[in-house]
Amino acid sequence: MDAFFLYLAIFLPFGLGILLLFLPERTGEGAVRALGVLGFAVPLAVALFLALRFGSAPVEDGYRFLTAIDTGLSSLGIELRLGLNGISLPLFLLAGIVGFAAGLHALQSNAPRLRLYIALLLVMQAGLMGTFSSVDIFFFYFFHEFALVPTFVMIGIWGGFGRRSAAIEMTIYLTLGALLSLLGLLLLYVQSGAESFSLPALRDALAAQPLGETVASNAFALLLFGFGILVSLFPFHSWAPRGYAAAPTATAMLHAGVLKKFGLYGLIQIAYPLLPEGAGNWQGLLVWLALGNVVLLGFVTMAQRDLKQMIGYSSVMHMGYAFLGLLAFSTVGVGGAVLLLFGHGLSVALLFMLSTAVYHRTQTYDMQEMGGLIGKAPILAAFFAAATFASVGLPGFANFWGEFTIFISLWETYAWALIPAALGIIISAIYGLRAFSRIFMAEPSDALKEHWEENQVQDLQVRERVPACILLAGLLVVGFFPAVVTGPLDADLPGLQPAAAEASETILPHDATESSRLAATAPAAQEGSAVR
Amino acid sequence: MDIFFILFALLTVVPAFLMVVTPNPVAGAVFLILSFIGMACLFVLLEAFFLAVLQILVYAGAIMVLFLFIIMLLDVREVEKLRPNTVTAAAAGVSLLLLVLGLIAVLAGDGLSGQLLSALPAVPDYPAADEPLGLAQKVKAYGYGLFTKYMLPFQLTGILLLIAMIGVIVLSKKRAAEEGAESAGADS
Amino acid sequence: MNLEAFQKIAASNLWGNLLPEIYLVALCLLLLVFEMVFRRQDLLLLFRVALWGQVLLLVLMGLSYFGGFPSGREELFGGLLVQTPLTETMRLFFLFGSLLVSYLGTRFLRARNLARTEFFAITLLVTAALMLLVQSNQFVLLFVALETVTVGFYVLVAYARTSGYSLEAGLKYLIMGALSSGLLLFGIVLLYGVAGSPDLAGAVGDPLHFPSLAQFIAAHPDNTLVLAGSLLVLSGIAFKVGAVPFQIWIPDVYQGAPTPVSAFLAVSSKAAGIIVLLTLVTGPFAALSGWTIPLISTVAVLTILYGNLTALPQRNVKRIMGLSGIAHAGYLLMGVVAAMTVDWAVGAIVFYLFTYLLASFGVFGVMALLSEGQDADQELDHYEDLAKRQPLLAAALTVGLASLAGIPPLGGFIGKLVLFIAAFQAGLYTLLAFSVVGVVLSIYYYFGWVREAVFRVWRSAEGAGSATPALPEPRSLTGLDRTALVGLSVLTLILGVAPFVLTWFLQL
Repeated sequence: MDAFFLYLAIFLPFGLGILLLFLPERTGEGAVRALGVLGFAVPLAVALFLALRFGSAPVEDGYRFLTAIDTGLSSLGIELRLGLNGISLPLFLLAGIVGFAAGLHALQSNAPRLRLYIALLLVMQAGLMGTFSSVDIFFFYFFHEFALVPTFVMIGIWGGFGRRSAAIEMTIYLTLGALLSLLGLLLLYVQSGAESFSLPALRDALAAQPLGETVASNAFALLLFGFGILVSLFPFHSWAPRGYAAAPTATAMLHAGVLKKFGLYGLIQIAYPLLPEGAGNWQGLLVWLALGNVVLLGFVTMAQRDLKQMIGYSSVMHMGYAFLGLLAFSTVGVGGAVLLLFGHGLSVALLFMLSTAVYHRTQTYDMQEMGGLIGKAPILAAFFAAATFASVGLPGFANFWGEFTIFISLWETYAWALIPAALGIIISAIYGLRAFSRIFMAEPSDALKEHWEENQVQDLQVRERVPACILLAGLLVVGFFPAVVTGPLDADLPGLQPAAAEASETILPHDATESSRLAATAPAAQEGSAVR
Repeated sequence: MDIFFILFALLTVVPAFLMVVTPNPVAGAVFLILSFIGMACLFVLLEAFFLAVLQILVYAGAIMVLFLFIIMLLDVREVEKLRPNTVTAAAAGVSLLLLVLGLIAVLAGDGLSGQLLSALPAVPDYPAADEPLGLAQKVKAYGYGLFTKYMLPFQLTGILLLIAMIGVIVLSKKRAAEEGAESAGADS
Repeated sequence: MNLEAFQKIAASNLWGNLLPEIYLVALCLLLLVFEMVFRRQDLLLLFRVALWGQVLLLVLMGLSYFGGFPSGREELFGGLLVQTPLTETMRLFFLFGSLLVSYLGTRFLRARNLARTEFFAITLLVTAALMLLVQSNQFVLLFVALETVTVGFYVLVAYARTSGYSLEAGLKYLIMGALSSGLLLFGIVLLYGVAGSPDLAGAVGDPLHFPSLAQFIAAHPDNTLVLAGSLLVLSGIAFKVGAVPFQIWIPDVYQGAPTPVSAFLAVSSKAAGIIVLLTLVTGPFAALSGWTIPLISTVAVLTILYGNLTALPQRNVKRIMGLSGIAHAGYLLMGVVAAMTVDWAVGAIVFYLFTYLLASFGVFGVMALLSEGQDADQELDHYEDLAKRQPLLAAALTVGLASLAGIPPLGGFIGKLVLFIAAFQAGLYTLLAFSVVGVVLSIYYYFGWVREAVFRVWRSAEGAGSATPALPEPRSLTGLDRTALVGLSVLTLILGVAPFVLTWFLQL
């Protein structure tokens, strides 16, 4: 029965998306909105429901809610197998939350040709829910592409300045990454001899008969760089800031918040557990690339004047931490990476959404032109501050636990990397706070004053506040009760990683006692103002 | 033997080349006939006398002479437009009827299963495989091969010629200008 | 050969097994009679006869499968012809292609003062010959069938004889086609001479018969004449496929030929070439795999790179389709190499061909509908803001191009996927690497095209006119246009999300 909900979470948004495309022209906007809300709410409801049921569900092959349908390629070992484990559950949940928030934001955005926009977002949402619930690595890839393609279209049609070239750059980069990872997955499939794309079957086959050193290393490299491009790993990152700057808000929220996590999720769920012998060869390189993300791109982020570009770069930068978490591939590091993915997904989505709210009130993304908005829109300022603090990684937000545990895991492996990594935290605090002060505190420019004199500027509206509150609530809940995410993770990580048995399994924070001990008073005050 | 081969090969290739480069159509046709004759000589060298005879009779003789006639005697532009009249229409109708009757006869007999040909009467004077064949027997063997083993390619060649015929019509026939006007929407 | 042998052969001339081909020829004759009877070439009537005639054949063939889809291998006509599940599938493929060409032809002809009946007639005959071509099991039949196809295409390519482009294309195709036929014939003759020579041990009775030839070649794989002959035969086929270095005719011919003919060339002719190549390298030339595998692999790499790299800077859409078609031929060649070691790769090739058919006809269909006046000069600029002017055309174009680029969830993706898996199993890693490079390159031009058509253009209010003169607005789409385009797009999507409709059928 629970499996039925998995199908529902995927096929209902997809079906509604298709339905929206074929509705007659004269359909009222109310109906479109109602269908849209339904399409975004159901996946969230399913994700929450399954998260609640997760602990009590029976485990089969390391997965819960396991189910399968034949699609006609079963002779190649491809079947639509869905299920969740401790790693995919947080991301499944993340997709549900961010999808709902992005959907609500899009529904009130007054975009031209709203119906098509909502339809594409629903298709993307279906793909996202499918990606993180697929047990079959073919469908894992398939659903990712399913979510990716609408992104290109949305950027091309509703994007801002420079979208035509940004869309094509993004398409080429991401297709390259996707194809490389597809090749890696196919190599795994062919070399393992499992005759199946099912993850448990591959795991068993590889455990029984590990690949040779060279093959494993090559397959791992394909996966690492393929997925790496998708997550904007350091030298392959240039698509991300440009793409996000050009993308319409809801698309940027869904892509930066959820879809981009696909690459790291793939590394955590597939590459590292299946190819531990291949991973060793690349760790030495990966640490440098990840630090490139953190430090070099950190400095680049500091230099940005465009608010959206800055958020784009900062999201690229934070992905570096997630990669650092993978280096040890211990329970702590991976758990931290998943926590960070969860927290970062929410915070970056929130930031993208708020940056659009800022744009509506200042008519510019150039931070030099802004200022003084706190007087006009204090609630917006509060939300923005909370999102910035979350993204910097202050205690009380989900991101904190991610970065904290990643640092712990680094201590055990690449201790020297802690220094540049800590530098990254400082950098992100600098650009985050500087952006806040420029937007909200500084003296407004003359053009802005003129604009404000001519137009009534309102604070964050209720319809904008609802999605923002949903995202912020997710950040705070996991910030104070990380067990929501770490509980399932703890249950499944040791099983996924036999090689890291020596790593301690209980360091992941389980309750709010530690968090309250570590949480500073300032962010707590900030939260208070944000929730108000 | 080699000297003959070289001679005949040159006789085939050189006129073929000249035919391509010459601007005069009559000269071109004559060169082509020469080339065909050279090919027939090559067939003789290979003791394929029947093919050699066919080559001369059919290609060099009939077809090329027709070409020459057309080139020299007819100014194509002045030929009146041939309109099918009652007689030709009747002739076509009768031929069609005969064709249909023939097909019905075949279908009513053994169907299209190919049994008809296999029921050929045995030919008593047909030589054994290793005996040298006379020309008449060669023709007969040729015929048997063509109508049994190579029946399908033979029929297909008919289709090929049909395409060629249609093609010539398409590429050379003048269309009256007014016929373009009746193209009103071809919807269904 | 004695009389009993002839009788035996005659007994195997089972014409009943060639009913689809005979039906098509009869349909063609019927059309020609129609023209004679009705004098005026009523396009609507002709088209209906051709269309419904072919649909009827499709239905009849479908009905005949209720007794079970043909399985196993049956040699007919004294070994000239062989029927397998593969050839039966390809028959359907060509019939489907011919239906679509007839439809596109109607759209092409209705705006032009050209002969009409003959277009459908030649299309039908060529289709019959294509069907025979993939079933041939002996070089004589293969050659005659191939010539029939080629001669048909000479006429079709030059069909728009009022257009200089079309005539030029016709001449180029004629010369190139004749050259390739010459190469092929010379190769066949060499093989015939060496395999039939009584001086060599293991000389076979009918050296043109594929299985007999295979026996001989297996016994003499290093004979110089065998090498030369098979190389020439493969070269002749490579012309049809459009593989490097025999690809030079493609862009000009595709650009000049009427759009329906370009589609016909791109899909049916190429598919036939690939299948014939497959038959040859896994049949008579199987013993030569020592050098055919590296040779075809190299050719495949060059073909993929050439097609994609030359398509990158193109602005003319017909040339893009031609050059990217070369790249697709390259991927298919990779499939052929894989099929030499992995059996099920044949199914992968056929699947790919079907997805290619659907996507290509979708794109060519849009092109044909947009180009009622001028045909050869379609530039990318003409597609600017197509989504605003003709949303349905833009959508069909997008689906078709995305499927060609291999983007999920469309059929083209599954096609590439199965082909890649087959190549992986065959261990063709270098080829795969180049294929991936090719696919990424292809994204650029396919996506560029979609971008022109779908993505909004910023224009200043006063400078609204674009530099290139827009194509005349197409006539309003008829119900048939909508059905055809939507049908193709939906089928492409179905093959992507539910591949079992075809895999089950191909027994992949």
